[in-house]
Amino acid sequence: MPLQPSLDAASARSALLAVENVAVTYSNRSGSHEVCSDVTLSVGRGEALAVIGESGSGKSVTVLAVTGLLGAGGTITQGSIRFDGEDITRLDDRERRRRGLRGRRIGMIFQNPSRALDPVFTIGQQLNEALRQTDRFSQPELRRKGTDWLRHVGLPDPEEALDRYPHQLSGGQRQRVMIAIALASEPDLLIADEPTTALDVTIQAQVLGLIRRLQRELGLALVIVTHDFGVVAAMADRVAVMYAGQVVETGTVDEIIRAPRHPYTRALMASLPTGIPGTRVTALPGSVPSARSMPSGCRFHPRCPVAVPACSVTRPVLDSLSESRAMRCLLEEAPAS
Amino acid sequence: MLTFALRRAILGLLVLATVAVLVFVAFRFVPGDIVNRQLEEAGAVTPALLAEKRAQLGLDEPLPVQFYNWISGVAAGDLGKSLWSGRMVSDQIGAALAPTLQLSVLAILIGGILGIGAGVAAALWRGTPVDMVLRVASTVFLAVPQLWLGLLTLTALAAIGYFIPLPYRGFTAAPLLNLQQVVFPAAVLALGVAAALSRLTRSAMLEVVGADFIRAAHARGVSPSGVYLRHGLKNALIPVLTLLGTQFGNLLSGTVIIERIFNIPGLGNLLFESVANRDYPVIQAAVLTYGLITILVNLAVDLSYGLVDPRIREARA
Ligand SMILES: Nc1ncnc2c1ncn2[C@@H]1O[C@H](COP(=O)(O)OP(=O)(O)OP(=O)(O)O)[C@@H](O)[C@H]1O
Ligand SMILES: [Mg+2]
Repeated sequence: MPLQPSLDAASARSALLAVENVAVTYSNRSGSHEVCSDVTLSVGRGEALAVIGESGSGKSVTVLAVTGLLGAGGTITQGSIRFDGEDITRLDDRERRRRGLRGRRIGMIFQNPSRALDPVFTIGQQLNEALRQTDRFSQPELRRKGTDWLRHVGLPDPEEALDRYPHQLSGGQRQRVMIAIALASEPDLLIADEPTTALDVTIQAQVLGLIRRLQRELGLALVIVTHDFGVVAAMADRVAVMYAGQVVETGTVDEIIRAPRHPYTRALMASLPTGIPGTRVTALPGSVPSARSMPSGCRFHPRCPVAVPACSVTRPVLDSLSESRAMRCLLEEAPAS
Repeated sequence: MLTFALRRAILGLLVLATVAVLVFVAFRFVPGDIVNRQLEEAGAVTPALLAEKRAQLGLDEPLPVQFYNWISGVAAGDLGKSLWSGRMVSDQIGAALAPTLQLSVLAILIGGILGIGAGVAAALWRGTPVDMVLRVASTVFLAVPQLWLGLLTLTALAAIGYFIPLPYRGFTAAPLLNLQQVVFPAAVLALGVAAALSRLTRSAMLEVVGADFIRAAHARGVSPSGVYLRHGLKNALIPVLTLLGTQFGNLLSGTVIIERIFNIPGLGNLLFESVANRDYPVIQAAVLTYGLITILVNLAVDLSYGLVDPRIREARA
């Protein structure tokens, strides 16, 4: 199926997934923290969006909010999430299952394939759970379809692999299995939360390539979470850059990589990994502020190399710069370095 | 797998042999013997008569010789004769075994289902009144002695005008009557098991429910019962099975007193009487039987780990 990169504003309006001004709060006995404050992003059918940001910026929380899997104490306190025109912001588990938002229409791949597969059930048993979301299949049909999916994701000996347990596969194979499980229920949207961080560097490119190929072949919308601009360039059509629970800049991959405008995006790009694990060209000093002690004004100003006094007072909003591009910065005309 | 079972079986035999020595020696140090008891009843005790009786029963031989005579008999399948009634010990054990097995299997079933069910419910409704009530109940039943609970049950039944029918009938002979006789003692034994199991199941489930694969199962659309009972419970089951095994041991020792209270002619009752009479062959055979049951149950629990967890199965292969 050909990819249709219609990245204009019209596609954003008819987006498959539209997250608008979403705030997420976790509360427990010791208090409550707003871990996402203002997340706005959208993905059209067949489009790939990368969500990038440092550790703790709220990327995982954002995608969990979409699937309604925030866990104990987590709630969406503001904003709305629309999927295919339906408001899914506050649906409970039962309603999400009934509408097929778990598996059949939205598939999810997790960061650590070793922990996301149940160790005491076979690959086939777990794959069947996904296959059964679409239809009632007989045992032989399940087996045949399961084998097909495992072959599709490039697992050697797909038929035998059905009867294997997760610990009998390598990390890369497990992530391929997770991809097969997520796709077996034929979703429209695939969410991949750092699908390769737990994998060996040599396997990462293969698994990413597989996701990208299947996404194009099946015409899926893709949200891929990462903190690596290399992944963004290879995988996505558009990018949303997150910092401290907010989206600070969005645009097409081309625009952002060629001309990043937000000081945080620029700093993040300047600290591209060198390819040698653990080393970065320029480390961004400091770290993401915690939900307990958010800076006043712009959340990035304490670490911002070009901050002016106003930045510590005025909260910037996400302003549209063009049809495809938006940014949250008081110094909108900040020169590209 | 086979070699593992074999290793466990050999270990079991060693344990059984140790039990045999211990029970043999221990009861010889309890003052008074069967001859004393018999002659007390007859009234006239002369030292000559005592010695003659003892010689008849083989009790005048040195202990090691007595032990050898007994253990070689046991090894050949001959448990000897009761010193008191002269009946074959194997017949007595055989007759007493069925009621005890029925009682303890019923109790472990009730206790297992109640305990695991309560533990899962408490974990899923953590922090709610359901959880609170179940936790308080388990603490209470863990603390209450079985003897007391048994007597309380009998008293309570009498107070509402219900009397358990007597005498005891076997399940095959009179199923309905038998169930009426067995269900209350089984429930008394089960409550302690359920209390212990529910606490462990709750904590094991809470640990599993936070796992990534539970979230992933939700994400691919598995139903709540599928997520918690299939994925959740199966992963929480290993520690629960371990406890189930040790609880069976506790339960078995509980049957001695419970059989006594509820007039069930099982191994416990037999042991009780034979101890009172210093009927050594019967005591020894009864204790050995308890040991054998315990060892078999532990073996079954060990083998069941492999059924639950493929990684354990492989490590043993
Ligand atoms: N279950 C939770 N309860 C309380 N706080 C949470 C929970 N999950 C996440 N948070 C908080 O939300 C913030 C954002 O976390 P999130 O996992 O979204 O970061 P991330 O951008 O995905 O980082 P990483 O790249 O390390 O995965 C963090 O401060 C984290 O402590
Ligand atoms: Mg994350």
